[in-house]
Amino acid sequence: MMEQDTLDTLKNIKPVKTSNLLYKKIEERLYNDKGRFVPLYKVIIAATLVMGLFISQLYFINSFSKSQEYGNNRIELIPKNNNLFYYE
Amino acid sequence: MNIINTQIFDEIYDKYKDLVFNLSLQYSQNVQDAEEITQDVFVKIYYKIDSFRNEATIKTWIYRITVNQSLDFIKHKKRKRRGFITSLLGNDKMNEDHLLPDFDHPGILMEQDESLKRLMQKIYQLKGNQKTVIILLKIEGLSQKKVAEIMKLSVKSVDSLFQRAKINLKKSL
Repeated sequence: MMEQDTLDTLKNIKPVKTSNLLYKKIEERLYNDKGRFVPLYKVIIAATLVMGLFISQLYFINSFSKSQEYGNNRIELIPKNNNLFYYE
Repeated sequence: MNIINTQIFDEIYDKYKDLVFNLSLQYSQNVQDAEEITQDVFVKIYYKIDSFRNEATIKTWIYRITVNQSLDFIKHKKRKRRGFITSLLGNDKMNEDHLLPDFDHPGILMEQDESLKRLMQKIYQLKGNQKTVIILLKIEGLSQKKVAEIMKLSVKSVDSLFQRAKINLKKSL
């Protein structure tokens, strides 16, 4: 087992005084961090707007494709000339 | 954060800055890194002060944050150094000595004790929990009960970690 004396030498480590500049550095970090964090309510508003945009896009695409379908049906109702009889 | 919490934060900083800095220094063994860890700790305290529940004393809480931030910092630094050196040598298996910090611990250097410096370097190479137990018991001089509270372990587990740490240190010295 490790001699207790060896580990006891760790008690000889002297405490070190903290630099006076450290508080200023912490203040700077907290000040810079303020811009990084977006409040939750802003995130919710942005997400709602994006979802709304997405849903309205889907709605418009869907209505547009339905009107196209209706348009195609109208064209089919117009009788096509059948030139087969002509050549016979 | 409101004015009252800022005042509380200032009080906490004045009271515990040396504790946090010195504890960080025992882990990082380098003044620059210890200052960075100390900043990380107090920024965390600033944001978490509102959510501090009195499950433990504030000192225990601060010890816990400092221990966790220090271990995270070391892990991150080792990963960065390992990555660069591994790519340089093209070798995954490498001597762990390459991962030692640039030793700059004024509390040890002023003693001019080479054996103490070597011991600290070996402590640096221990696994996280074993390193923590040695630092808290033998450098910070805390009781096993206090260490158990900080590490959220039983006293028996702390003792077991301490015994394993001693064996590993003896092997490496």
